[in-house]
Amino acid sequence: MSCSIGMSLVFRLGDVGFSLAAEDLLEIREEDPRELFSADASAAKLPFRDGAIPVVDLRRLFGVPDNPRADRAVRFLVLAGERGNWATPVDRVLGVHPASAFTRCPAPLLSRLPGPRPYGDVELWRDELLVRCDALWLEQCRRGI
Amino acid sequence: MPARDLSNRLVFFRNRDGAFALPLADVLAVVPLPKIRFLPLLPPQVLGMVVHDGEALPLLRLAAKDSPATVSAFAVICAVSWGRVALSADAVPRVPAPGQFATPGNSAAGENPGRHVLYDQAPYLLLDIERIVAELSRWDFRQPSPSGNQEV
Repeated sequence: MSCSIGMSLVFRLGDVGFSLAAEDLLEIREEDPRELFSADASAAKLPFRDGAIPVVDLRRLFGVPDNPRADRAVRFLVLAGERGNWATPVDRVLGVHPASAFTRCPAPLLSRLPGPRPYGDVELWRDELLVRCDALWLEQCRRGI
Repeated sequence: MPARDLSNRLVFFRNRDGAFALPLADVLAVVPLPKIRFLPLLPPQVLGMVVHDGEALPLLRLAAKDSPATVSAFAVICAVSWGRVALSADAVPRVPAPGQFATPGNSAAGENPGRHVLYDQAPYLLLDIERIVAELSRWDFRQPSPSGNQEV
């Protein structure tokens, strides 16, 4: 049994904090995005193991403003998906923390908004409200919504 | 002792968006303004989220355009059909006796949404919170990114 069960990764895009199950995380890589996004951002690939995996821009999916430091090396989360692995650039990784560090925070408004949406839950971590992500749901979102 | 009839009482307050009134029956609490937290893909009518009693509530923007920032010190927590929402207030809201304000053309506050109430010689826009939150559920996040809920 993986010791990451029940743990969550916390990361940041711009000023927005996110969390997702650590079980979905395969690796954290540091790459130069200029090489990955130089030609066609939608077709960006990240070398991974013996092949290349698609790069998904969560910043775009969540409407987070561009990072002015985007020309610097950034960290990529490599995540397990239903149709294979995929990667996404993030601004900061704030660690992997146990479930006890998070408090579920109901947000009835989110269920009232038209969907489907990339997220529907939030939680409190160190007095910060985080967007709770699900890797499989994000994978579907990037395809269809 | 018989319960007081609060149906004709209004709460008056000001914030960065203007001067507003709403039925006292819609107000659940007035609390020091909690930290405003920002989430992506929220409607432009939402300035941010505040955590109150363990729940993340939308802090509503009451003006169509960005207003000059003022320092709001309080949050007015209001009941809506599906939960609670928050409004910012620069000072403790006032709840005057019914004879101290005038609702032009109608004595029932809930029946003239979008109209002003005169109090202390100043007009206050009478809010219909249910109508405002109904707009939220019509906003499609796939529309161009709003300027709202990014900064206060």
